[in-house]
Amino acid sequence: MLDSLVLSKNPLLLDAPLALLIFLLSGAIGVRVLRRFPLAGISQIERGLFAFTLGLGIVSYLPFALFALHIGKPVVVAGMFLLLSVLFAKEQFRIVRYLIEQARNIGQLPAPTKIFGAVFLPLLLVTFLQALCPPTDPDGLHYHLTAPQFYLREGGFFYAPTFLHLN
Amino acid sequence: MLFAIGMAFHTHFAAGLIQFGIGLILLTTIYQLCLRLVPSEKGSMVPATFGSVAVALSFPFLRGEMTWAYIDLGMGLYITLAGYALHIAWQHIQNGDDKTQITPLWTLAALFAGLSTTAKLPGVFVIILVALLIWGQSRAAETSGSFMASLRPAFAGVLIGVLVAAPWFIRSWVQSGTPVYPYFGKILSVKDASPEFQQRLNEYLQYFVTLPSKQLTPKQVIQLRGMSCAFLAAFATGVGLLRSTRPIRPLILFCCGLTFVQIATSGIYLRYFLPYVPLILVITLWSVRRLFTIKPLSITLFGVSILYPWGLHRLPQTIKAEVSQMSEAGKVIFQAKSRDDYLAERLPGYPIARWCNANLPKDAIITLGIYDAHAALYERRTLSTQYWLQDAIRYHSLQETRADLKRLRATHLNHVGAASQSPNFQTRQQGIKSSRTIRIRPLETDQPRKWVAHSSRTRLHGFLTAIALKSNTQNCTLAQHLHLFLWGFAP
Repeated sequence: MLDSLVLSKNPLLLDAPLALLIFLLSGAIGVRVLRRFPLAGISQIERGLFAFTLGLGIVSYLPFALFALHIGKPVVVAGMFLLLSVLFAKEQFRIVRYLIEQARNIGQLPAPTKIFGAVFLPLLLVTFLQALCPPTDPDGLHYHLTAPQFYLREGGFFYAPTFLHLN
Repeated sequence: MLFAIGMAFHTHFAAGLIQFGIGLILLTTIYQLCLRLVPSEKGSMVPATFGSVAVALSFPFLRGEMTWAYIDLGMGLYITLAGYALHIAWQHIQNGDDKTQITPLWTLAALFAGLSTTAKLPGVFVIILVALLIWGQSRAAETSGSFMASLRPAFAGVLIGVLVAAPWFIRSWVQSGTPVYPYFGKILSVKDASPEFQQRLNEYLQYFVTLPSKQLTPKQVIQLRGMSCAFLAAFATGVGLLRSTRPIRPLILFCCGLTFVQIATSGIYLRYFLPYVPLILVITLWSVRRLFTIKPLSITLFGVSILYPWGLHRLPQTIKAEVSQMSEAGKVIFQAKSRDDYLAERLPGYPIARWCNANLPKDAIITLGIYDAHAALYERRTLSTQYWLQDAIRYHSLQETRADLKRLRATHLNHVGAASQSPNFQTRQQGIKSSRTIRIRPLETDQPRKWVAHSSRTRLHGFLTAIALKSNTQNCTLAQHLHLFLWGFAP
């Protein structure tokens, strides 16, 4: 891990932008892949949902590929991710612009959506703040986070005896 | 794997943010699906209300995992979008649209099915279900009526789904000797997966994955699962054939198929249904969609009647808890409380991990004696000792356990617990009980009996479970057994 290079330990300043970048890159890759699908009769938002989700799946294969090749040390994973982000910068910029446009049109949403939105926005905010805190959930700390930590430390996949979920 | 990208930048990446983002996409998907399911008329508020209610009802289910480092939300997103793509394809078929508009949607559904397998192994059943639905839709769309022609898209769907997930199967095969660890031990040479272990794993699923709080006997579990599967099959056949459900038939069959497979292969464990919750809720709401067209008052009453059992009557306490959580999170984010303090307050085993990280050599291999010992918090290689979920450390005899630990080059033992309660051997033989204290001592040391760190209140698995099964004693003092058992490791 590149802990010594990290400029800020504040999750709001470091982790939130990083997570946003992961989603933007996913969206950008998904948009490019989805161009090959002649999808008819779907709205732009639906296309966006398909693109983001497809992109998330594709981006998750980036560390996978590096671990499989045993070159998945933190510096390589982080470097490759940043390189991909640069390569897909144009699409990411378009996504951000589209999202801003949508945010401007929020006033045109139907009344029920606005009412429910007003009720759920504070709950979403609390959830977001909790998501910024260190994870304390049992399964997450037992194997969901242990696996990437193991692989990043070793730079690749390896057989982990006693961890059923890692094999 | 997405966590790995964040963790590559720094070890303590807030992994919950990935889940939060996935949760937001999933909630938007639910809303959009609702807009598609309810026909929109000019000036009508019905679709928006329908979508908003669906999101509001889904949120309590998804919320917990939106802050955790779990994977069910990711699987849920892939599954929901696979169902979404199949639904759009179905609409095209009903409109008599050209097949060139349908095939890309089938491809997308198959891609999402494959991706759901990369999130969680039971996703393989999603691939099969999606292929079956593609076949059904293909039959409905096939004007020539050729059986083989209708099968072709289904085979393509299976192929796409399997190809997407194939790297994970290959990785597992190379690593452990089987594409689906720990299964196929009878025909393949699988590492640390004896037939006895596979039987034990099945027992684990019987004991722990069907309403564990109800303490059902294995016979009751089988009966309950059988009845649930039979009901689902009858429900899917009955409701799926109704003329009125035709517009969402693929979604109904998809949901019933998913829940059927879940119950048949794993059990009735509420969290495992989370990936299917969005679609189930949307379908349930669709079945009462007429309510949304009557009067706003009806909708409000309907919403309140549903939300009431979910905690509306405890609103003041809920708000208080939310404010408290927000203030706590705010303290961590703005660094009024350190990460160490935050974790130490919530995780009884954290002081042990902290001690190990500060004091043990970098190449130490630590044997974690309990399930929730939080391996991810250790900056060293760790071994899990869970009796049910691994076969590399066995418990038939002390000699065997010692030999296994030696083979695995375990250099440090994580804990000895002084438990105040003994597990309930008679009913479940599971050995999950509260313990008052948890302590740590180095395995290879000249002072083996010196405690070096301790914590309190934790749940015990692993060694304890094994001892519980070995001892076959109902009224023993667990602490005595632990002492006897673990002192045996002292050099």
